[in-house]
Amino acid sequence: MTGTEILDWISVILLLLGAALSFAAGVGLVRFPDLLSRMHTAAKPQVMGLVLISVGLGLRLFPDPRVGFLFLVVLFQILTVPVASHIAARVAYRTGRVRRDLIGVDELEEQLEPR
Amino acid sequence: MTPPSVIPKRSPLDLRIGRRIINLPTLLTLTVVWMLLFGELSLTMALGGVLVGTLIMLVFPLPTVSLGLRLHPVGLAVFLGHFIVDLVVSSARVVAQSFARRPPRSSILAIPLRTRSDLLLTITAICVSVIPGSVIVEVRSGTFTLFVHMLGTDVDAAEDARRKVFALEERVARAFGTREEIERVEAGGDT
Repeated sequence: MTGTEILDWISVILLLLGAALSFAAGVGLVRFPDLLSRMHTAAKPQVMGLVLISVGLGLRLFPDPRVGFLFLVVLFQILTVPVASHIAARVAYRTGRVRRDLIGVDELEEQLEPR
Repeated sequence: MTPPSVIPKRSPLDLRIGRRIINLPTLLTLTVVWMLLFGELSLTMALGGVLVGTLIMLVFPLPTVSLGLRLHPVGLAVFLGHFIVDLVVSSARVVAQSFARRPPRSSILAIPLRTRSDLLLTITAICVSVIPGSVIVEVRSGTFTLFVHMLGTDVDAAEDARRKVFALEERVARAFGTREEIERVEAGGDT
């Protein structure tokens, strides 16, 4: 096998893994009971899937300087997903869209002033 | 607790045009991003980046903040290594939980961080989402407290989860913090 062939195979594997993870994230989105749990699928398998797909693509494109674009995609995904999910969680929590029966300890409730 | 200093020192890397300030490191970052976006290494691209960066900073001026960012190569390597491992482990866990038969129980924990730097607070808050099992729900920047939703963590596992966030904070401080912040985080830790 030549060098490029090996690289091609690695990138195929990474692309498939990334796609599988994104699929799993979709399953989690459907199956988890409330918004707070669903956020975990957006924050982890989804980001990981995107990272794998980008690395797989990057390996095939490699000498092409457009690889830098993929790097930016991953960087901003990692930076912005937590911010977005934090806002969603905040709103969900304050409007009571939380499954209380699934929560063991809640140290936020004590600290929020009643309104 | 002492509030962080609000008034930053005048940086020697600032270029002043009238009342607007152009921060040179920011300009450099914007130029690099511009060139990455177009995927082209050329002088025209670089000049275009400088031009657009300057325009952005003139049109959308931001309040100057004292960043207090230091990069420690060793700490940064440890931090990045942990980050990648954590991302893999936590993805695997969430996938397992989403195929599990019963919905996982969870907790919301208040975690008072020891750092007093806005930058370290922000980086820690972002990375909490990558630690296995946790997602950020609310940030109190006044008291530097993170409220974290821990998936699959019931009452008994809460302390363990808390310790993980503190360990993350320490890694973040060792990678990006000033000496003062590293000492503060180490001294305040009872973990």
